[in-house]
Amino acid sequence: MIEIETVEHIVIAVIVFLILFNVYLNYNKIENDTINEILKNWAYNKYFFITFLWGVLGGHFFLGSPRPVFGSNWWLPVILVIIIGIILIFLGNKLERTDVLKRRYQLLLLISGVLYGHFFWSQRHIPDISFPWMQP
Amino acid sequence: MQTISKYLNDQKFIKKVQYTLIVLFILLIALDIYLALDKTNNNTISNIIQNYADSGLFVLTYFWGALAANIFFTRKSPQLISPLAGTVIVIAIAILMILFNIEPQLSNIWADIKYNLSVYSVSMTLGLFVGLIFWRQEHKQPYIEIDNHQ
Repeated sequence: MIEIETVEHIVIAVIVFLILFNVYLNYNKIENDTINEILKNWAYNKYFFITFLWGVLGGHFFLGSPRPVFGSNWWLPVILVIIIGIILIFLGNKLERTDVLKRRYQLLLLISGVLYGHFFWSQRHIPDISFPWMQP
Repeated sequence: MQTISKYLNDQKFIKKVQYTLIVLFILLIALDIYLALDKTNNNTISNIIQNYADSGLFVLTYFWGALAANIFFTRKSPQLISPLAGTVIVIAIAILMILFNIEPQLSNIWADIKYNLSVYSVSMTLGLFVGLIFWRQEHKQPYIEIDNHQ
């Protein structure tokens, strides 16, 4: 049993840790090691699924059409996003370590992620959506 | 040789940072799955992020956009301002949004419009544009030249 407040503290602690860690990485002697740079280098090389995921999370948390496309099958978009993620990782693995993606692909990935989150998998589709294990 | 040994040394350190990020990410997902399955309702990380946005952290969505610009849209043109100045501007705009309490005002206007699109689309887009103007990273990947010479 973990209370909501504890989880809030964990989330805040993680964010504060990441910020402080990033400030340290920015001012230490080693170059190109900040979290932003690492994520950028990942997203422009083999791990472009990160761009799609960032879009999906944006649409999932903050946007959302009134009704989800898959209706009440709440598990379907979850399974589908995992499958899409695995396909993107598989495709990314075919890239060479020296490849750098074009920016237009990043735009495409981010927009398709946001649209996916908005239309298929959002927390804002129905305000009081209930899951099977939450039934009284 | 100096640069190559420094490069290899840097790479070792960067690997450690990468593993830290991956482990942290996996731990968060594991925690979220545990929270979804335990007996306390609505205590998942997802719920909490949503509650934050609902209770006035308009800036969270703004940072979503700014970080998207910073991480996913690199810059090939010469830089406008230094990265530090860019960071300061991005954060200053966030602080202004809190000080002037933008969210309720904008929400009221937005409620009249009724596009079936959440009001946070505004702050996400705003963050994206602020990030695109002031807070982009360079396009080149630093390690590639040395890699090609090995």
